[in-house]
Amino acid sequence: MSDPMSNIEGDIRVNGTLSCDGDLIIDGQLEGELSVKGNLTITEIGDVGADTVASKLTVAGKLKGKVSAEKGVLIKSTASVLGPIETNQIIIEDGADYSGTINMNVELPKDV
Amino acid sequence: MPKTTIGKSLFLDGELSGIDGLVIEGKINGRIEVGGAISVEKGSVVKADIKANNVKISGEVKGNITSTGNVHYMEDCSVTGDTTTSRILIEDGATIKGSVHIDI
Repeated sequence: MSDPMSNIEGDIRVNGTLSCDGDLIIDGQLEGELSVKGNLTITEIGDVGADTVASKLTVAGKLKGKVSAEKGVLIKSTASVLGPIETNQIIIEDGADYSGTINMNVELPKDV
Repeated sequence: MPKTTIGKSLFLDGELSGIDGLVIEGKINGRIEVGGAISVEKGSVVKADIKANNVKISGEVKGNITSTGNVHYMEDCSVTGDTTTSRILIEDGATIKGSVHIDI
């Protein structure tokens, strides 16, 4: 996609509903609601308190809120995540701080 | 200096604040207050009161603009609202509807 990436960087605070048709990198603070059609990356210095919907989510910083990411969630070792996650694929690295419930949309075999 | 970019694909309904600079290419409804420079690029639509240091507009703004530095209205810009600043530059072709106060 030739769409230029957006980023929230440095000492900028966003309060409200943010929707993005492309990819988004958050280096700053965001509070409210977040809806990203592409990949969402929260870097080590990113701090997000928002219910988040994205195609794919990578967190290295702080995230608090409900997460829904259809194509996958990656929680890096530096991350601190609090809240329920709904996804089809998840990686939580060793050292990451996570508290919440994970709901993976998979059909379990009947005898499980 | 870190610079936040609100890209073309981004839409924000709410508040933006901070001490750093900001480049807007997308759409914003709400309020913007930053300590650094703000640049509203061509194609962007901002419906918000803007408070910033230096302000450069080449897109569309509906709202009052208050600058602690200088204001630069580029040739393709469209501004509806009052402007308060200490220095202003308005290029030929800029569309402005509103009052301009220059406080020295």
